[in-house]
Amino acid sequence: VSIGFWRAAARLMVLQASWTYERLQGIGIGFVSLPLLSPLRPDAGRYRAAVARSVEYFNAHPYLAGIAVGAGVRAELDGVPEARIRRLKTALAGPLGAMGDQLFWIGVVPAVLGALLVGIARGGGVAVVAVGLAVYLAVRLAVTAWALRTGLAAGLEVASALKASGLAGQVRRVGYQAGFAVGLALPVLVAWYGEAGLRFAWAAAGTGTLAGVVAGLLRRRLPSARRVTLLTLLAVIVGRWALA
Amino acid sequence: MSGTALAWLVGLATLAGLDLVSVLQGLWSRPLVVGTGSGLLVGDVETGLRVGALLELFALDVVPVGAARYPDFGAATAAAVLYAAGGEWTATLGAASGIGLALAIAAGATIPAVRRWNARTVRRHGERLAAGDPAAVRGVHLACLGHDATRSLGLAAAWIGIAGLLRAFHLRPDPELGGLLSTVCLGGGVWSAAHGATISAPGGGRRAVAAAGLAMGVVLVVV
Repeated sequence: VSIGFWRAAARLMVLQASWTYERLQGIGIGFVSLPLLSPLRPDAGRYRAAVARSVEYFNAHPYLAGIAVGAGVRAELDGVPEARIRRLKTALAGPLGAMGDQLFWIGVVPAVLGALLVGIARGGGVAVVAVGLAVYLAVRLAVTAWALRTGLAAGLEVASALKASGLAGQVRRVGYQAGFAVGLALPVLVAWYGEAGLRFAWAAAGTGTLAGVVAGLLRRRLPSARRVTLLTLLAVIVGRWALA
Repeated sequence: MSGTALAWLVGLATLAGLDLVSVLQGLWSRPLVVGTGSGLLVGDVETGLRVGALLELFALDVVPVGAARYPDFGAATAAAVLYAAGGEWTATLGAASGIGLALAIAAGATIPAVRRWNARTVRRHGERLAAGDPAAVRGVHLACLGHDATRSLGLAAAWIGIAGLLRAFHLRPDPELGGLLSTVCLGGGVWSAAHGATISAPGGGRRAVAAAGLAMGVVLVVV
């Protein structure tokens, strides 16, 4: 594993800084690819063509984008025709985006946060947050390095490597864990607030749960809880002022 | 509260703003983490945890995907904790969370603005990028990172400034109104988290699993 690999892995941590509506992650992918493309530098024409291709339109989940970076760079180093490289990136973008969103944003993140909320409500305090954060960051770094290594090793065969990794099979399992963790956290957290002196906590939680389930069944046809809560807060304040 | 503590708070909120999209995308931008860190910095960990946990319930319904618009809870949570710190949390939790929610939604509107700013920078260097100039790639990317750093620092300073002013003018609800606002916020937070836990189901079955978790939580509380 070269210095270029670790420089690229570090750059993956700031992949999305140059996100735009035109190229999405394109510029970021180019920025990450630069250290890995350096073996092509002696051939200036080929190097510049590879850099230019690397900054084209692309989007994937930021944790898994390293797979596309690695596979694209491997293909460039192997001298694969540019049309195939473009097809490879196009084919990877959708699956890496959808799988990453399901796995991390809708799975791992709420699962970890649900567990942290339970830990805090059971008296774990700051230590629970610190340990949870450290573990999550370790996972984040490990996944990033694994993704880049997998892409670099597999090149055009990255689809098979991805299938063999079993990552897609984890999506449903992690989603269930997230649902369970958040479900578990809600009553524990409400008890934490209620036992410490917040009045009508269970009544509020019951109403909130019912509203959440109804909103889920109606599939986002209701305004978000954030906006309804803000409006209700304003109504309470104005009502109290009017009564006074 | 010392100027040093406020400077650290602005630093934490800036880091949280960067974490949302540009840097790392770990858990640094989550209200629970920012709330805990802010509580430590302002010397009121209890309030930091309480406010952070409640705002986290609202954030659990947010999926930060690509071009979607979503709230930025980082600096907003730090401001909410600063506002509530040092008081009786049952009286300030609702008002602080309401302030946090409003600021988070407002902060979310700055993300598309930064993306348009990035796009202008990319277009200015379009020819060099098309020619595969590595210096242009590096320069554009780092400039865009600077854009988000500016956004995050500006928001952190502004939101924490607002919270500081509210504190300075003692704009806090009385205990009765404060308690009512806190109850409203808890209901809204539970709604948001319950919605987030059930709607984003890959395939079927997540609602049933979430309900099982809910039942186990109730048992845990009762026992």
